[in-house]
Amino acid sequence: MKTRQTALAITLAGVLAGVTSLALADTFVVAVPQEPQDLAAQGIYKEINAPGLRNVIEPLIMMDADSGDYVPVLAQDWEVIDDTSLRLHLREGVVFHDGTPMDAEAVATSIEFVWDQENAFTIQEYAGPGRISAEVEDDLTVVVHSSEPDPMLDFRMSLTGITSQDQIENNPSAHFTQPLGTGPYAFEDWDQGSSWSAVRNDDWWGRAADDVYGQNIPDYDRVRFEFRTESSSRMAMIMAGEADIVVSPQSSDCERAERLDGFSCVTGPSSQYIYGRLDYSLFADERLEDPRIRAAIFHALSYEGLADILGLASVPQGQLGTPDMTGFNDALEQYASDPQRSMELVQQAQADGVNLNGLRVEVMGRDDTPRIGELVEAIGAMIEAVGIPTRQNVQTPAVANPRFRISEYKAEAPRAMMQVHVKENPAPDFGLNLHSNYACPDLDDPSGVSRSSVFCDEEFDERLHEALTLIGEERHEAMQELNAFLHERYVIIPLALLDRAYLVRDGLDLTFGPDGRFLLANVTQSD
Amino acid sequence: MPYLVRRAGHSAIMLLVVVSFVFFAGRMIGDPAIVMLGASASDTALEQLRNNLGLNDPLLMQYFRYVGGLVQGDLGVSFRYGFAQMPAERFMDGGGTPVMGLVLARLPQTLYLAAVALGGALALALVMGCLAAMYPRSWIDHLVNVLSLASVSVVQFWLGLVLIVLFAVHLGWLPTGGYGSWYHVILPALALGARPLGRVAQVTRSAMLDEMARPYVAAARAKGLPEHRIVSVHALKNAGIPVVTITGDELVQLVTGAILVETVFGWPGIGHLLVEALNNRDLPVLQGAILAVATLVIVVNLLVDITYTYLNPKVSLSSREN
Amino acid sequence: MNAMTEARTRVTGDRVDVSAAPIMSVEGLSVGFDTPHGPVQAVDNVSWSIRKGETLGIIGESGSGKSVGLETIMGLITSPPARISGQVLLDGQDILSMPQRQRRQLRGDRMAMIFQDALAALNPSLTIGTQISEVYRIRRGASRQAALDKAVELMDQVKIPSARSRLKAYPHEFSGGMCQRVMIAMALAMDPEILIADEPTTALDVTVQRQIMDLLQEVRRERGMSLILVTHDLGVVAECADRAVVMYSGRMAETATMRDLFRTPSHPYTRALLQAMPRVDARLERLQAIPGTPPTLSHIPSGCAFRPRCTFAQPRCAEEKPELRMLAAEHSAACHFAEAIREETSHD
Ligand SMILES: Nc1ncnc2c1ncn2[C@@H]1O[C@H](COP(=O)(O)OP(=O)(O)OP(=O)(O)O)[C@@H](O)[C@H]1O
Ligand code: SF4
Ligand SMILES: [Mg+2]
Repeated sequence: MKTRQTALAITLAGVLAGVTSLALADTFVVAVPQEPQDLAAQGIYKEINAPGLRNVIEPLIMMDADSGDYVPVLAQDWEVIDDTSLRLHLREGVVFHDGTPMDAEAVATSIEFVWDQENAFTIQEYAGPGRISAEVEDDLTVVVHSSEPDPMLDFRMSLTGITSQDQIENNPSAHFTQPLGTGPYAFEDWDQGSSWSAVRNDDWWGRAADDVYGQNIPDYDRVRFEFRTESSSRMAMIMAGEADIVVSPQSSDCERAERLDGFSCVTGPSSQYIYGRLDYSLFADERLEDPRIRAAIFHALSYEGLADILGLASVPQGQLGTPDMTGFNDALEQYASDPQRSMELVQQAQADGVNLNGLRVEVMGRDDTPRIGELVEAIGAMIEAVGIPTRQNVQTPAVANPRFRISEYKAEAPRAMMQVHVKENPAPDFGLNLHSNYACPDLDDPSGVSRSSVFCDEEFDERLHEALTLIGEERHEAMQELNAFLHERYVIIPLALLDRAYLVRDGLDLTFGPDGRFLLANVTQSD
Repeated sequence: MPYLVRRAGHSAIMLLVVVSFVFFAGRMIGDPAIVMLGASASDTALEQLRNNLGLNDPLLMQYFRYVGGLVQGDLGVSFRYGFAQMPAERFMDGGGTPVMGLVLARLPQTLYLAAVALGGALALALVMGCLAAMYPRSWIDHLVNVLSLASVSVVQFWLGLVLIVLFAVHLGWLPTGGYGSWYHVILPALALGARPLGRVAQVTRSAMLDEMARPYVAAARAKGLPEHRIVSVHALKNAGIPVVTITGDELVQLVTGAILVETVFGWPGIGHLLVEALNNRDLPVLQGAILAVATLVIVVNLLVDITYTYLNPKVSLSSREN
Repeated sequence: MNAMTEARTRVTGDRVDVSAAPIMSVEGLSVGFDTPHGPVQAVDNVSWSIRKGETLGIIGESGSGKSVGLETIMGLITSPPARISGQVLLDGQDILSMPQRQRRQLRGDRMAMIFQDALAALNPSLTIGTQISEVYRIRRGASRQAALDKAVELMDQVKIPSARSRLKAYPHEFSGGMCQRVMIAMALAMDPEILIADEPTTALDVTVQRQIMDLLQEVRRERGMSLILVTHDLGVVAECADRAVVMYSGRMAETATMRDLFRTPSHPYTRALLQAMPRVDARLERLQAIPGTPPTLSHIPSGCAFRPRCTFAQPRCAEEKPELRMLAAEHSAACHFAEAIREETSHD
């Protein structure tokens, strides 16, 4: 009898659940791996900060998913005045979700608020060399300045979320939890710990504009982002028909999607890459400066094998980026996987008097990297196989671990570490990449992004400095040459390029580019 | 001193120990500024943040400030949620999302889940245990044994996923997770309640078997009481002490188990908050969540003690002096 | 022996209608168990009866099957696990063949039982008030308050002082004698016709024993109840009982009116008991004066179970099991030589 009652209750629950999901049928549900820390405008610079927030808050310009070029959003037009300023012409008649006008004054307020160094927003990790300020030229014209020459002001504007001036000035705490942007969806509710949602903005400017971004005008009544930390839980959501799209599935989930009905896995390149940073000039074991030993290590690895371990990944083209990026060198190829050659190189070096006694290359992983254990083990084994001893180690970065702080490297000198780490190219441009990974850090003033480099080469630093001030084709060529320069010196091993993946319900198509923003405007019905 | 007062005093001291541990362990993990901004942040940014967060003051002063804040219900300010990064005076109300608010917002959901899980598990376990004890070595007894053994040994995380696949994906009866209506709680409560269900059923069974052999049961039968009353009032109340003890133990497990179960089901409770704080390296929230969990555990232990004295009239609240 | 007979007469008087039909009669009751050492016969072919208002004493050494027999009658021992045969007739109906539900209705209402260790027989975690009143409340459908009033009335009857204020007390707050009074009150709640008292005073000290026995006699007399009194105390039986059953090793050795039992004990075991009794209030525990020990149930000697300890034993006793035989009206014994012994003792 008890059992029958229980069964009844469960059936009843099922019926009710069915009713509810019917009622919300026009809600587009996205399963995301993490709850946003806040919904502040600054957060749109990285999708993982607040997945989906770009549907509510728009930038002035954005990168097109297909072409990789900047396209108009709130700014209809823009021109580079000089290497410290950029003029933007705003779209007319756009209002924020609170009804206040999106004009030059509002935009200037947002830009200065987001980039204000005293606010210490995390967007500072993409700050340029100078302080950013904004000036109102007329009602619909804003000029953005950098205190130092900054050829990537347009990139920084594509990261900057524009929100209601009234809110920033009069109700700043709401700015962090109830965003007021201009996007096709207006923030509705944030159910702490569960989900956040937005409703369709029928007054969205994109409905009337002929230069609107995206594949179509999104028409769902509501979009809800459900937080599920566990990838299996997200997978279950789409299997049960509760979610339309799942963000960040595991590679095994993608394999299962092949065999299951109802949804599929869509993959494409991402801006994330995994590198092996082998100690070079800074406090390094001198044997690691021997070009033959370095080459032997680079050629010892099976890059196909590593991509297989990672699952959703591909082999890089001998550099730390993708073909869409300014500075990408098409002529380069990935280091050949050739253990035979590696062994010969080691023998040559030994014959030349390089004594490998006591050398042990520490393959060190950071535990925020996917599949890091297997990766580190495989790399270690491959290097050992060509006659160079290794040891393997996985550690937690950042939590005050001195082993990841460049200022502490000295204590370990001479060091023979190969740090395996996942990184992201913030922009379709090699500038930041080359600067942060290869520019010699100034140890007396160890500030700035260059601190994760262990490579010191005066010629490179000079040429990079020069290249960073260039724009257009000149910049592209200069950086291509730098990539070739680095390639032949065996500085950093490009281990893999990570793919981005989504699980998408059948009947939907999702277009996405390397910037990885999830936009409902890029979801189309396919039948 | 009345027993209850002394017992509460012990709990308070225990709480202070936990608070101190949480504070100093948090500082031992490393410089919170680096924890927040990452190893590659510029020193200027780090210094700015340390100033904003008051991390440049002497450690003892920070400790007293922390404890002082706690006394006033202030658990500090999140590193991640809201705008802790900014100096407080720049924006009037607050200067970050108070951790207390975050914890208090999540606590009811955890209590709700735990209550449903434990309530359901207890009710079912008592029935199962009593039935098994009433018909020892019968098929009911064997069934109860198998069920309770299985639910004790199952891994909660795995069970959660199995329940999702079975009831949400294949049968489509219940949602895969989330929070909202009453039916959202069913699967997480099942996953969380399985262990206490098994343990309590086992203990109930053996305690009831012991009690049913006691002379007062024969006496109760002799005076013509119906069997159900003998089982559910006479024997059960005496079997209550071991059952309450094990329930207390299981409650502690339940609070910690909630961390995993909430994560699997996307349940917006304290456990989920804790896991996220860990992922985000959000020290104040992590500390707050740990404190909340520890407080729960301490309060639960106190309640278990009080329940004891209720069940066992020989131990009255005022007389248990030693 | 004269003193004893006089004492009995003084207490019981001549209230029992000897010609009346018995209210309960046990016929050929046997109870066996399966133990790890093999089957045992705890009660073997026992028959007796009791009339309204009568007190029946049951005497016997430890392990002789007194409690098992009575608990079987109460329905506290059931088959399975026990193997039960024979009949227990109440109003001419065999209660052993009744369904469980019906038997439960008899308990409390028609017959009730009190136990040796009253403290253990009371639930340690329920109040006295609850324990006395609950059966009345549940079975009679009385309100909580009415049931508590009834409890107070019963407690007054069993002479528990300041009854109302002790309703909320727990058993551990009471002395042994008080606990036994509570037990009695509990048993009387439904106004039973037969009260079975299984060694109600063994655990108490001497002065309290007497009070409890007096109380039992008093309530029996007031209610016209029948009392089955199990005891080790021959003095108590002599004082209170109208008739007695002497048990040995699960079987009846002898049954008679008290007068006959003391004047003409016809079974060697009964004789030994009486001879070994130094004083009126002697207890059977001290009767290890009877040489030897009672047999364990799994190793009962062939023929007469008492043979190893019997001074009258003959070779025949080893071969033939003596059946219970009637010697006179209301007097039977199970010994091959019962008549001879009876003759002998009556000439003493
Ligand atoms: N459930 C049982 N299983 C097996 N044997 C039993 C069981 N209950 C009682 N016995 C046995 O039956 C015999 C009679 O026991 P009973 O309790 O009736 O003795 P008693 O005459 O009441 O003794 P005492 O004076 O010590 O109370 C004992 O030997 C006992 O071991
Ligand atoms: S039958 Fe024999 S052994 Fe048994 S009591 Fe009589 S004389 Fe003794
Ligand atoms: Mg007994």
